[in-house]
Amino acid sequence: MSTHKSILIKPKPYMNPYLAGIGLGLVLLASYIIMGRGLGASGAVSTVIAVGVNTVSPAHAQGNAFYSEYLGNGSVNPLKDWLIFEVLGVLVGGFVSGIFAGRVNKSIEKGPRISNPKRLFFALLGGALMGFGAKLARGCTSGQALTGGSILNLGSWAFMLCVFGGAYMFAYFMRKEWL
Amino acid sequence: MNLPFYKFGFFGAETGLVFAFLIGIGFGFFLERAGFGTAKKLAAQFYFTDLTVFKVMFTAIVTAMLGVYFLSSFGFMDFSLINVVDTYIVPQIVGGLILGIGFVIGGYCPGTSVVACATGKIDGVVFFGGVFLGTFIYGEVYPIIQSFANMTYMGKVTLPVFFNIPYGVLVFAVVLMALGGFAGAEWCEKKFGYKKPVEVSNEN
Amino acid sequence: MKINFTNISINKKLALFAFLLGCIAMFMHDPMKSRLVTIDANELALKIIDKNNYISPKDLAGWIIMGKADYKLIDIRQENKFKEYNIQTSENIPVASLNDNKFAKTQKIIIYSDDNVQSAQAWFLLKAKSFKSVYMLQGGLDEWKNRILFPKLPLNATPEQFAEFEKMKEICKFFGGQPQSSVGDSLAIPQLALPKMTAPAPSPNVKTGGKVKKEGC
Repeated sequence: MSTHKSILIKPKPYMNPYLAGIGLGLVLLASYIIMGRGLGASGAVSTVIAVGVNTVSPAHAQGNAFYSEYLGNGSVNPLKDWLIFEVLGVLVGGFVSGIFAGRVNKSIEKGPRISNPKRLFFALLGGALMGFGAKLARGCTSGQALTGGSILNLGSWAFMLCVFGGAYMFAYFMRKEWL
Repeated sequence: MNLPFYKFGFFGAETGLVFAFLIGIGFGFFLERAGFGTAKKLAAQFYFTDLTVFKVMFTAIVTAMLGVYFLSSFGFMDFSLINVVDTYIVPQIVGGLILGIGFVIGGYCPGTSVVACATGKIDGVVFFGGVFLGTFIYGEVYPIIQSFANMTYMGKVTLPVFFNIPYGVLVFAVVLMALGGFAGAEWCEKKFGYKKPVEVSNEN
Repeated sequence: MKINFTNISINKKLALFAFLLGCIAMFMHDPMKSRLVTIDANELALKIIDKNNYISPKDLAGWIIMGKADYKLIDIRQENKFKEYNIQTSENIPVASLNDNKFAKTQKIIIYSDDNVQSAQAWFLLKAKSFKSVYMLQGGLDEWKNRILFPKLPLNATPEQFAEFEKMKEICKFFGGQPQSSVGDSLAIPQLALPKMTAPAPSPNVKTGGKVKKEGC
């Protein structure tokens, strides 16, 4: 049971998943048509981290092969990154949809058998694993699975299968968190 | 043939950033519409009670796949200009497994956690912070695991090339597989899922 | 319940539509094998008679000396001829492989061959593939050798011609050539094998004039 205070109107039911999927697919297609590239999320995080590390310790950042990849060659501000702007858009889009559907409310999503602090700990842990895994795999579900999947990229499909596989295998151990 | 527009020089990188923002809005909008701003719905996928994740993802993949295929096949789009991410097969398998475990522990993926942040979910904010942490750890550890992370590089490989099956046939196969998956998902939800086919949030 | 029924019906309609598209997809032209281009014949005809499609050897020499890097210099001859001699900073892409290049459509490209003929054909090919900025080295390598590598001072030179020649001498030395002080009979001039400069590796990830960053996710 999630604790929340509903701010505005009563929450509306979700969109037909297939229609939402088509909408998502069309957005992805638009990205291909306009930019010749797909969507993503983890790349934006990498750029921000790289810039952050660079600000604190430029030598360390530029000596590190991973960070320097996201800093570019200095001719353009690395924060002028396509993915960063895209993620900002996701924030706005999610908010707009949430407002219209009455689903914007301060809450913590979790199952009935777990406490709030524990849930937040798992959120942090899960996020960290995701961040790490996403960099290893060169993308997250938005970038690799959705984008790479739609152009039949081999690595993306292998990745997608492993994401589902890994999650299903581990789901048993996390059942107290959700069920 | 003049698609994708950007690659044919219709506009510059700066305008591209504006498009990034607009496309992101669409992305976030539909993610939230589908209900991916809540971890419960996302995690339910892995307990067979609510398979929205599978349905939305694969519908999106099929839609975009068909769109790209038909546009390229008719000669409107230059397929060779589309960015294909490099394949590093072993790191991607390992990364995928890690990501899957992280998904079921945290309840989000990076994209959906942004949507969760936008709709006020505190666990989404924490999760997103976790992504930063994980990325930072990766960056620090990178010099050590560099050779592992870069192993089994296969270049830009697509399924048609790898399996030596015509692109169109694979498109058909993916559509079939997706449709079969959807039928299975509907069956699963009826058997294990909530009574109502469309979830309505209760409370207060 | 009525709403549920309509919902299911919509899903079935979508599924049927997707299935149909999938079936059609099997019989369509494979986009990965696509070699088709659409040419705007009028536009191309106009571009052909436009005199601005050429770069003179002198201009190119100046750019190389200045270290300009906003263009790609392509030698479209066979590999063995490229190894024998090539202009500094050029890349070797034989005409047969030119079709597979992954340059951005806005990338500035200068092509040269031994003379104008093949470079004009390559120019047409690239233009047809919608490359916006394609130029040919005027006169090709023949002209390059005449003007840059082995510039000649005519017998009864005017002061302007003499001054011009002095300027060319400097440029000529930069490229390892030998100024010819008089128009003699055509000497059997040995080809100078200049050391190849490290040409920029053709990387599909390099954006024109931007940062060297991957288009990843």
